[in-house]
This record gives sequence, C-alpha cells and structure tokens, in this order.
Amino acid sequence: MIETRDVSFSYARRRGGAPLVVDGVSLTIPRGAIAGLLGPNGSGKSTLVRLISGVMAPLSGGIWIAGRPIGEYSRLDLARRLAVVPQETHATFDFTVIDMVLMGRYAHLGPFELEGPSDQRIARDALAATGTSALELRSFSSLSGGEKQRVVIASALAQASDLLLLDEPTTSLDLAYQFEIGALLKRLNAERGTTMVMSTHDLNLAAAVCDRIILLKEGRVIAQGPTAEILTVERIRQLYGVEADVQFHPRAGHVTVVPIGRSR
Amino acid sequence: MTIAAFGALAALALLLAPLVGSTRIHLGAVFDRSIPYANNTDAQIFFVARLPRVIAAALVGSALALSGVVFQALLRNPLASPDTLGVSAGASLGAIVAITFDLDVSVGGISAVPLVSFAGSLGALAIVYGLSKARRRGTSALVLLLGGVTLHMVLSAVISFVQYLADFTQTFRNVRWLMGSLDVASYTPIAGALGPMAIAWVGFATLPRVLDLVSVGTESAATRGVDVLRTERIALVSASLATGAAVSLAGPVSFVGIIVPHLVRLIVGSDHRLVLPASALFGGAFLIGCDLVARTIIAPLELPVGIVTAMIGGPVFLWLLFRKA
Repeated sequence: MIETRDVSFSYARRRGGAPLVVDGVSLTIPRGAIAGLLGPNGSGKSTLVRLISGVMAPLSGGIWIAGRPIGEYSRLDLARRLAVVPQETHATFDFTVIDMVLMGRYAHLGPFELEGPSDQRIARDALAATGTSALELRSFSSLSGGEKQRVVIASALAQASDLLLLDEPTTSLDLAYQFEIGALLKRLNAERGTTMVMSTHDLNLAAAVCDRIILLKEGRVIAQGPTAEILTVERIRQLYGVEADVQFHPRAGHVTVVPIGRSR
Repeated sequence: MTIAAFGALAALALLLAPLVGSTRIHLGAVFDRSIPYANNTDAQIFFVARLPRVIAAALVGSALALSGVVFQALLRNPLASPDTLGVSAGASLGAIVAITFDLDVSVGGISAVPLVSFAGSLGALAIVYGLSKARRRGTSALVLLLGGVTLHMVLSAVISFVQYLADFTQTFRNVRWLMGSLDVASYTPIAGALGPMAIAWVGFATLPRVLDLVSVGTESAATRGVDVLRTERIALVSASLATGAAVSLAGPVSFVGIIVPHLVRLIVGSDHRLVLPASALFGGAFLIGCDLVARTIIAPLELPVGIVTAMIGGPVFLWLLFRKA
C-alpha cells in the first residue's frame, strides 16, 4: 500500500546545508495494516508523515502509494486516496461539525460544485462510524478535545477511507479520550479495512492499536516489523535511552511497556 | 435564500439612498419620461449629484468587506482587515504620493491614483505576509496584528512626511482625502476603479470553498487537495487590488473590512460560499447607509464618510470583541 525507498529530506533548501531530518528511509506498509511510527522528539516522524502525505517532496528517494509513484498523482487524486489527521485542529471560524466533515469532500467535487445528497450521506456515515452523529449540528469549536479529534477523523474518512495518516493523534488528549481514539482506529481498520500510519509517543497506545511498528531515530529506521517483535526492552533502550519492562498483559490483551528509568 | 435577502437589501439601498438628501426629490419624477431631462431637476440631482456617490459607496463598501473576509480566512485571524494589517495605509500612501506629485502613469487604462494605490497595498501586504511566514510554525494572531498596526503607524508617518513636502492647498486636499470621502462628483473616477475591481472580483469568485479549507489550516487544506500557494497568490493579489481601488476612490474608509464580515457571519454562519457574496452585498449596503448619515446629519454640510464609519464601526467592533470574550 505504502512503500518508501531510500527517502531523505532536509528543511534546508540545498543538500549539505542542514542535517537530514529523514535519512534514507525505506518502509513497506501493507494494505490493511495499522503501522505505528515511534521515535524520540526530532526523530523525523512528523516529517515522514508529511512526506507520505505529499505536502512536501523528498530530497531524494521514492514514495509509492498503492503501487504508483506519489509524483504521478495529481493533488486531487492523492487527496481522494489518502487523508491526514493532524495532532490538533483549530478552526478560525465557527463551523458546525457537519461543515467540518463535508470539507473532506473537497477533492470529490468540481470547481463550483456543491455537495450533493451522496456527499451528505458519506459525511453522515463518517459521523456514525466515529460515534459523533449526535454532534452533527454542534459548533466544532465548542467540542471537547476528544470529540474534536473524532470529528476530524470523520472528516478524513469522508475524504478517503483507503488510507489514513495520523500525526500524534492523541497527544493533546486525556487518558479516556486516548483509549477512545485507539479503539476507534482499531474498529475502523477492522470494519473498513482502512490502512493507517500513526506517529505517536505513546508506546502502550501503539502496542494496543498497531500491528506493525517502525522505529525512527535521527531520521533513520532502526527497526520495523510486527509489534511484538519490535517493542522489546533492548529496542526501547536503544530508541529512547530508557529502561522499561515489557510484558504481555493478559487483561489488556497486548504487550505493555512500563518505563522504569533512564539508562545509564 | 439569505443571499437573495442581502441582494434585496443592497438593491434597495442603491435605489432609495439617492432619493434622500438635503433637497427633496421624488422617485416618480426622476423616472418621469414626460419631463425633458434638461428641465427635470429631480432626475439631475438623482443621476448627477447622488447616484455616482451611492455607486461609489456600494463599490468601496463591497471591496473592503470582501478584502476583509479574504484576509481573515487566509491569515486565520478574525481580526485581520485592510485597516489592521496596514494594507489601507499602504494604499493611502500610494494615492497620496500620486496625488501630491501629480504622477502621470497608466497601465492598461488604469490611471495613476488607483495604480499606485494598488502598488502601495500590495507592498504593505507583502511586508505583513512576509512577517506571518517568517516564523515557520504558528505565527500568533498577536504578532501579525502588532506587525500590521506598526506598519500602519510607520506608513502614516511617511504620509505625514509626504504632506510636509506638499504645499498648503495640496496639504488641505490630502487631509480631506485622508478622512475618507465618497464625494466623487462624477462617474469618471468610478470608471477608473472599476477595472481593478473587476479583476479582483474574478479572483474572489474562485475562492469561496478553498477559503473554508484554508481557514482551518494550510497544511490540512493541502492534504485535502487545495493548491495552497495558488490560492494565497490569487487571494492576496485580489484583495490588494480591491483595497487599492477602494482607497483610490474614497480614501481610507475604516472598519468596513472588519465589522461587515463579522456581522455577516453572525447571520449566515462561516461557510465562505455564503459569507463572501453576502459580505459583498452587505458591505455595499452598509457603506451606502453610512454615507447617507454623512450626507444628512449636518446637512447642508456633508461629512466625510470615513468619520461616520469609524464612529459607528468602532463601537460595533468593540461590541463584537466583548461578545466573544
């Protein structure tokens, strides 16, 4: 579904100016997977998400979405294929929830075309899928953080239910909402087969939700594979410099990570 | 539906405002074909003395309101407007320079004053916009507005400097002009401003939906399929053209660009497919109304409309601010 080959990127205009933020990253994320992108601050997670989303072009290397090079997609084609859920969404004006979700239909409409009944239906389906139908006519800015994030995910689903890129989607949410979003992502993946790539700092969220993990450090991939194989004591030490206990938790039904202290 | 109501309001304002003034005239007499035009004082007052002024008010009001809407969405800042960003001041400086030094240039039939006004507004906007882009992530609303206000003050100082160089009668004319007046006296200046305004309208017409998306965030707009760079270019050039043309016609008329979009949003919501046309119509009607007050409140003397918009707009703006808080 998503493949990157030797992708590098630097925020400096020319090569050699600034260090590479993303350095020779090669990934394969199969269709239907939920891949977690883990790494310390500044490891290039967000940059990698932005590169895959097509808002920036890599300095070198190639990215393929559904077997086609990303450069061959037009802006609108790509938007119909792939949607992004940012960390936080702040609407300047007072849009209603359904307005926000209908904005996801932009790429599906002609230049002066208004949303028709089918767009309305898709938007309502997306609200239902994220459990936000009751909020339809509420003002987006009046919602709680968790409600907002669910609405933004609904908007992304209305745009493209094939492929979602989520950039630290739970960072600004409290524990209950983190659970809620995690469960929602798993359910969408199971029901719709949506492929997801999620960057996160939350190792336990990644353990609960993701079936694959990619570890990024200083712009490089240090490991990728099935969650249980990648989330290990050694890898966590290598990645964060933190000692942790990693155990399968029978009640949670997945491995859990308990950080103990900084490695010395 | 709502747009039709705004349209009716604007049409009504256009038709009725010329009937009101220090001399009483009757609509029936104005359009009475049995009286020859040369003898029909009602028609002469309507078509020569008042209609140009009302048309100018409609054009200026809608141009400023549209520019305000576009700036607010593009910069994701509800307090952005041609005034607060210093764009009006840039246009004023351009116009004052053109008037004071009697510049004689024209490009594509657009004469010196609107042309240099446009250059001034575009220049000011380039500075503010550069400021907003200089910090890569999250320029705060405050920084942008302080930048705009600072720019406004600097440009005002430059305007004072130009005035200082001008002779006495010119200075008097400039001061009057800077108060913002719709006393256009004929259709000629209107025709001069119409060209740039028409170009701006074409630009604005491409924007409504993308402004919705851009107002939520440029990066999210890009991932939804919006060509953000192209949108920004069209929006900024159109808004500068419109502001430049409005200022060249009427001088700096303040507060229209900020309160009209907010009042309109209170009625139609935030969807720019409604906000943009409704603001154009309501902006026109609003300025016609303000000018009506300006023409009649101390009749037979006529106040510059800029004084009225500031006196009405200031309190309304404060009300909007405190309403939100």
